[in-house]
Amino acid sequence: MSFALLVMLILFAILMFLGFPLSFTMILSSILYFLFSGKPLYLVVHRMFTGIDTFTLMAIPFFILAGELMVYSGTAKKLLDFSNLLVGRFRGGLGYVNVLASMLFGGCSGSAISDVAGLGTLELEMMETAGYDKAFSTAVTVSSAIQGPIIPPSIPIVLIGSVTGTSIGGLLLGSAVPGVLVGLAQMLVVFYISRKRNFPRNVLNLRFLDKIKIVIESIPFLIMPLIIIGGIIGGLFTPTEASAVAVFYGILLTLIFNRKVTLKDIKDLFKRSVITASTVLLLSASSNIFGWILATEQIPESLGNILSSISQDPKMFLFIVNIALLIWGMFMDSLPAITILAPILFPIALRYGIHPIHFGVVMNFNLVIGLITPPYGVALFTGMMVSNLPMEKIVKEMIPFIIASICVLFFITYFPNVIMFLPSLFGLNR
Amino acid sequence: MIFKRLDSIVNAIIENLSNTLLFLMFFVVMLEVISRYVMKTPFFWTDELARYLMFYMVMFGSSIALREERHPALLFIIEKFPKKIKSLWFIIVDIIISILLIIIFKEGLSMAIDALNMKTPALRIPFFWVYLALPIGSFLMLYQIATKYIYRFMGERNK
Repeated sequence: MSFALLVMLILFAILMFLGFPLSFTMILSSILYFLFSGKPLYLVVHRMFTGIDTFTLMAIPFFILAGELMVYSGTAKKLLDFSNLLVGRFRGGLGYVNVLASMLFGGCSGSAISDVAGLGTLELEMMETAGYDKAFSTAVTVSSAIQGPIIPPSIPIVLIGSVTGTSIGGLLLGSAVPGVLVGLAQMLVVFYISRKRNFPRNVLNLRFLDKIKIVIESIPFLIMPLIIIGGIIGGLFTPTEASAVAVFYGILLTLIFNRKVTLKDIKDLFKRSVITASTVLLLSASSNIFGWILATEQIPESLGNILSSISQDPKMFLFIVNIALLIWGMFMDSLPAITILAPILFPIALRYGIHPIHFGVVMNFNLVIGLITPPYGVALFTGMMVSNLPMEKIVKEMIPFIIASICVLFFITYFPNVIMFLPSLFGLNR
Repeated sequence: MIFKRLDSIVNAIIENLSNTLLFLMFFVVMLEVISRYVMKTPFFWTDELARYLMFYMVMFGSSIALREERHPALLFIIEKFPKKIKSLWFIIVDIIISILLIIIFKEGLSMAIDALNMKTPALRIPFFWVYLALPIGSFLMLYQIATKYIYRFMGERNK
């Protein structure tokens, strides 16, 4: 290991843990590497540019904007009514409704925060009026939000694909089944807890015509994921083009279903999308320098050698990575974690003969769990804000949901066919 | 308060510009999809134009994100520190980021000037205009840090 690299890594670690913005941490430590190794600084700015100058990355701003537009068009209410019609009548019904609505919403939005913020307020209100315990309601709301960034469209999946050069269409498709599985696992938890605590059944007194109305009104919102996935599978458009079509569809739904559109709301919605997208893309730019330095210094190779001296078995490797990522995700958002870790871990995973789509989906799934786990989880924080409850109370109720999610994580890790089935079926597994 | 008014005008311009850029990106990519299905020879410049628009959007957007402290960071350790040390450290952080931004500004500008005669593959515009986003962006980020301290300074004087 060269001296310059040592300086870079030490500075990186210090600044990272002391609350320095992560994108700037990567750029600054890279600049120090270049200064110490006598390479021209020109490379830093040029790689910053090439790290953003990627057409596939453009799906990130578009999926963010599409998600915002879907919330604004009133998706949440429609999907909740639809879910209520399907599963509301069982014992603990609103728990199922909450999970199912998040699953359907996950097909419109690619982030966990918009799930909690957009859908969560309505869900909590609904469960509170029906007499559910507030801590439990919040726990279901926050936990089920992880389906957002797992079920396609997904922002972290696009980032993984862009940073590592893996097929984004394949990754998106591979994530679909795991996303539904985690929803089902969480419904199982709801089932168990509703029995144990004797939750109420809520009676739906709907006439047949009302039911038809709910179904028809929710159809435009339900077909959003079909447009995206269908478009990619059918070769109609690339993932980036599909994300632009999603924005178009979001605008259409907003114009049709939101009767109170104001210019100020639209401006705010665009501003929020710009801010989120810019921070993610700046991370990608920084990772393009940082990851390149690690690659030229052969860090993935060295780390791979250490790991393969521990075990040659890909199963063991995946186990170690999963545990490490679960811990890492407890402290860091999934998006910066991807930009820092994916360039290191992907080459090693390839050496173990693990398919990049399998590894990418597992990595995303794993880091997304970190969004709901303490001490640092953005979805958890959003849940605290929406419900006004302290973290401990929510987390106590969330433990079974988190355990269920981790079980699904290990299931998809060791049964790669669950992930690979759909991408292989449509020839996107290259 | 002339300064306050000027600052809000500047920020409104940055926000409206970046919003427009995002919309233009969307428009250009939709044009690409439509042109492919409607015309015999689809537009060849849409991909490139959308990418360069995105580069500008990221640079403007990063400056808004810096003002609103939205760049992701690990705060769980620093939050445990006493208030005085914390605020002192964040001043140091701002100084380090400023130095970093000055480096990016300088290197970005010289990269742009070096590329005056290089033309982009599809649009045939000088790369200068593309790379210029980097010095502009880093200047705007420096501006946000500077105004933050000007506001702080003024606030203390008003007390």
